[in-house]
Amino acid sequence: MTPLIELRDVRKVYNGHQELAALDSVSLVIPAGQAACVMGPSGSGKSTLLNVIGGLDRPSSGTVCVAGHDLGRLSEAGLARFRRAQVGIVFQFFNLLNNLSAIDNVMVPAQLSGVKRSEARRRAHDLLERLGIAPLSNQYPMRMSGGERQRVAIARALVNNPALLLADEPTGALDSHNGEEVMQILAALNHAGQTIVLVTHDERLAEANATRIIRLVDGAVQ
Amino acid sequence: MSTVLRKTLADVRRHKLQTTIVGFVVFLSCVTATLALTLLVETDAPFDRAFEATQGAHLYVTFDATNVSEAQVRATAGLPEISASNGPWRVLPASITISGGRVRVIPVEGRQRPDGPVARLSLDSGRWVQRDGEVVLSRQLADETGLRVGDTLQAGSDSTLPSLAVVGIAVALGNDAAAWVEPSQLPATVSPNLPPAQYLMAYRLKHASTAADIAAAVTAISASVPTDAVADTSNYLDAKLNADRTTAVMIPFLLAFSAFALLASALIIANLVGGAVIAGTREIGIMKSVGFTPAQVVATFAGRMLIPAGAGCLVGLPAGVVLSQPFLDDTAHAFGLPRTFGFAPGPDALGLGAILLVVVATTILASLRAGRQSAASAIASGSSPTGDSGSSQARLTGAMPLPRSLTLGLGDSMAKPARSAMTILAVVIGVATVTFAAGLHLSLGLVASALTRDQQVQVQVYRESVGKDASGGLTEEQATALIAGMPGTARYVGVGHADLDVAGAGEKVPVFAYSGDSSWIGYVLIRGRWFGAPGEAVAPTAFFIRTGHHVGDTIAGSFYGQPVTLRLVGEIFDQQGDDVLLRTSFDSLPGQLTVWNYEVQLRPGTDVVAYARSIEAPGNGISTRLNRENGVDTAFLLINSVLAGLALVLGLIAVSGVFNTVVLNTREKARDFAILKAVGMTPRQVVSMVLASVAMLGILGAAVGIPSGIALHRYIVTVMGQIATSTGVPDVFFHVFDGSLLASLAAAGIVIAMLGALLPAQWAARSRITEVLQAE
Repeated sequence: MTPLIELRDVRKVYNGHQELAALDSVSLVIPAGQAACVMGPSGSGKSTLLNVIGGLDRPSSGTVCVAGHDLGRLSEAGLARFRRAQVGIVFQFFNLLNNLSAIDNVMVPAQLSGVKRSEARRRAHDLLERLGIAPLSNQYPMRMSGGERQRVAIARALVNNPALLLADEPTGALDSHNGEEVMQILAALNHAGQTIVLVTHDERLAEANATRIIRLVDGAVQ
Repeated sequence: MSTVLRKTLADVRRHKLQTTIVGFVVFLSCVTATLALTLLVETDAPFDRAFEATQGAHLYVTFDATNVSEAQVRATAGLPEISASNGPWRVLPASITISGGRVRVIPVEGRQRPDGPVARLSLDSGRWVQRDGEVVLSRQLADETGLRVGDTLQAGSDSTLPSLAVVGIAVALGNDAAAWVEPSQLPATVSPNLPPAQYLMAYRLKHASTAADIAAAVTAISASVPTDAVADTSNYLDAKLNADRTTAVMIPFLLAFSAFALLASALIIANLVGGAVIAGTREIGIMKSVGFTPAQVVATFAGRMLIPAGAGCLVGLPAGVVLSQPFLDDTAHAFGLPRTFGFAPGPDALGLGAILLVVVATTILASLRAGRQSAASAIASGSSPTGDSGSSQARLTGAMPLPRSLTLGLGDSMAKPARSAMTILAVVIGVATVTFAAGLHLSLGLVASALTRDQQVQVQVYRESVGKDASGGLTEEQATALIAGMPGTARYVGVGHADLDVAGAGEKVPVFAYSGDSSWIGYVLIRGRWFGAPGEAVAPTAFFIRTGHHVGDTIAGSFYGQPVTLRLVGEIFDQQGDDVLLRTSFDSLPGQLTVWNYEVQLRPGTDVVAYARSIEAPGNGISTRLNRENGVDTAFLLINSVLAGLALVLGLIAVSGVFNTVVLNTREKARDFAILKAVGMTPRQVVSMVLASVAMLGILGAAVGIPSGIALHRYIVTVMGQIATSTGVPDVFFHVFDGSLLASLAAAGIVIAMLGALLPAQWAARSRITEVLQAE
C-alpha cells in the first residue's frame, strides 16, 4: 500500500530540554486506508505525535511526510493550507466555535479553502445527515450533548474530504455510550477507505476498531 | 514581604505584555496631560505673566533728541509718578537691505544690557551684543526677514551703520525697537534723509492701573522736559490689549484641545485598566479560593496596575515637559510674547495624581465587580469559552459574499458590546481629533489667506511723502503712471485714508476709500456684497457691533464738516487696527482725496520681489510691502504646528486605545484562533479576521467622530472669530469639508482601528496552536 504518512527519525523536545524528549527518534510509516491507534501512558508523546503528523507542531529534528508533503519545508501558511486540504482533526474536547451553529462550524474549513458558501453548506448538510445530527444543524455547540458535539467535530474534520483523519482521544470527554457510537462512526469511515490515526487510552476500543496499534513509551515507538 | 506584595510583583513580572501596555498608555497619557496642562497654564493671562517676569514697562516715552539732552531725559526718572525706570537708550533710524535687495528703515536701539530694573529683554536665541559689529534682532524683524543667529544684517547703501553680525534674537514687551546694538555702535549723526535720533525711556509707574494714571504720568514727564521733546509714548495697557487680541484667538482651540486630550487620556486608561482586570477574573477566583480576602484581591490588582502606571508617569512627566518646550516656544511666539516658563509643577503634579487616581478607581471598581462573584463562578466565568449562541450580527455577516475570514471578523466586532463601545470611543476620539485638526488647519489657512489677501493683492505700494512732513517723491499722477506702466501690473487701485465722524462710533472712524474698481481686492464677505456705487460702503463686524447698525442701514456722518451719507451694503472679514472702520469709493466722499497707497495685483509669473525692487527707485518716495510678509503667516504656521503636534499625540492615544482592546479580545479569543488555525486558517487570514473585526468599529467610530469633529470645529472657529476677535466668520471658512476630505476622514477611522489592531492581529496569527489548545 502507498505510505500516506512517513516519519523519519523524528525528535521533539520542548523548551530546549534535550534530555526530556516528547518524541525520541520516531520512524513510522502508515499506509493509506489504515486505522492506526496510538496508545501509551500519559506523557508518552501520543498527542505530540498526532500534532506533528497533523502539522499543528513542528518536530525538533527529523522529517515528516504526509500525503506527499514534506511538512518541514512548508511555511506557516503552507502548513495551514496542508491542514485544511489534507487533514481533518477531531479533538478530545471538540474545539468547536461556540458562537457558530453546528452547520456553520462544519462549513468553516471549506469556506476557508475558498469553497462557495452554497457548496460548503451542501457538503456540511450531507455530513451532518450521515452522522445523524442534521436536525441539529442550526443548534449552537453549548446547547448540544458531548456526543452531538463530537459528531459535529467529525463532520467538520471531513468537510474537505481529507486524506487523513486525526483523532486525539475522541471519546475522552464522552460517556461510554456516546464513546462507543463515536468509535463506530470512525470505524465506518475507515471501512469506507478513510485513513485514520487515533489516540486513545481505551485498550478495548482500540482493539475493537483499529487495524494497527502503535505503542509509545517515553516518546519512543515500542 | 507581604503575600500581597509578593503576589503583585510576581504578577507584574508574569504579565509582561499587560504591564508594558499599561505603562505605555499611561506614559502617553501623562505626556499628553503634561502638554495639555502646560498649554493651559500658558494660555492663562500670558501677557500678565510675561509682563511680570520681564518687569515690563508701564510706559515707554520717546524723546526727540534734537529737542532734549540725555541728562534731561535721565532726570525724568526722579519724578514722583515714577517708581522705577530704565534708559535712556538712544534710537536711530537705519536703512537695511532685505531679501531681493529691497531697503527698509528700522529703529535701532543702543543698549548695553538686556536686563535692568524695568523692561528686561528676553533672549529667544543666541546672546546679547558684546562689541561693535554685532546686533540682536527683535523676533518680529527676524520673522519678517528670515534672519537667524549667525547671519548678517546688511546695511542699506545710505546707512550710517555698517553691516552687522546677528548674535541674538530677543523679545521685548511694548518696545518697538527692531534691533539692538552696543551704544557706541550708533553714530553721532543721522543720515539727512532719515528722521532724527531719539531717546527711549522705560518707566514703571506708582499708579498705572488706568489710562488716566498713565496720562497723568505722561503729562508730568512732558512738563519736565522742553516743549515738543516728547515725540511719542506707548503704554502697557495698549500693548496688553493687542497681545490679548492675539492670544484670545488661540485660547479657545488650545483649551478645547487640552480638555479633549485630558478626557481622552482618562477614558483610555479606564478602558485599559478595566479591561485588564476583567480579563483577570479567573485569577481573582483562584486567589479567592486559596484564601485571599476581597481587599487583598483588590490590593493585588491595584498594585499590578499602579506599578506600571507609576513607571509610565515617572517617565511620562519629564518627557511631557521636554516635549512641551517646542509647543511652548511656538505658542509664545504666536502670542508675540517672550517665553516665561517651561514647567508647571503644580498643575503637572495634579495631572499626574489624577491619572493615578483614574488607575486606582478603575481597578477598584472592576476588581470589586469580579470580587463579588464566588470563587467557583469567577474561575468558571474566567476560563470557560464565552457565549453559548451566535449573535444576529454573526449570522448576518456569515451570509455576506465575502471571504470567510472577513465575515468571521465582522461577525465578531460586537461580540463584547462594552469593549466594542470602548474601541469605538477610542476611534471617535482619534477621528474627531483628526477632523477637528484638519478642519481648523484648512479654516486657518483660509483666514490667513483672507487676512494677507496675497492671492488677490501681491504688492502694496506706498507713497512715503503723503501724510508726513517729508517732501519730495512722485506725485499721485506720476506714481499711478509708474504702476500702470510696470509690465508685471495686472490691475491696481489707489487707496486714500481719511477719518469720518459717525454717530454712535464714539470716535472718528477711519475710512479707506478706493479710487477705482476694488471688488477684486479680496476682502471676504460675511454677509451682503462689496460696494458698487457711490454712497455705498462695507465695514467689518466690529463696526456694526460698535454702532448698532446692520447691513442695509444708511449711516450719516460728517467728513471735515461736510455731511456724508453711506449705505452699508456688506459686512467684511477685516482685521485691521481695532476693526472699526469703513471701506468705500472715492466718489462716496466729498472733496478731493489723495491716494496714499496702491493695492497691486501682478500678472501670473511675475517675480514679486523683483517687481517691488524695481518700483522702489532711490528718491522716488515709493516703498513697497509684499502681502505675503504681513506676519499673519507666522502666527498661523505656529498654530498649525501646535495643532499637528496635539493631533499626533491624541491620534497615538486613540491607536493605543484600540490596541489595548484588541489585545484583550485576541487573548480571550486565543482558543478560537487556535481552532481556526487547526482547521486551516492561514496566518494572513487570521490577520484579516482581526482587522475586519475592528474595521466595522472604525467605520462606526468615524460615523460618530466626523460629525463630532465638524461640530467642534464649527464651534471653535466661531468662538475664535466672534469672541476672540470680534468678527463674524464668513461661511466659506466653515465649508472646508468637501467630499474627498470626508472620505479621507472616514478612512482615518478605519486606519486608526487597523493600526491599533495590526500588532495584536499578528501576534494572534503567530500564536502556537498546540500551546493554546493544551492550555484549554
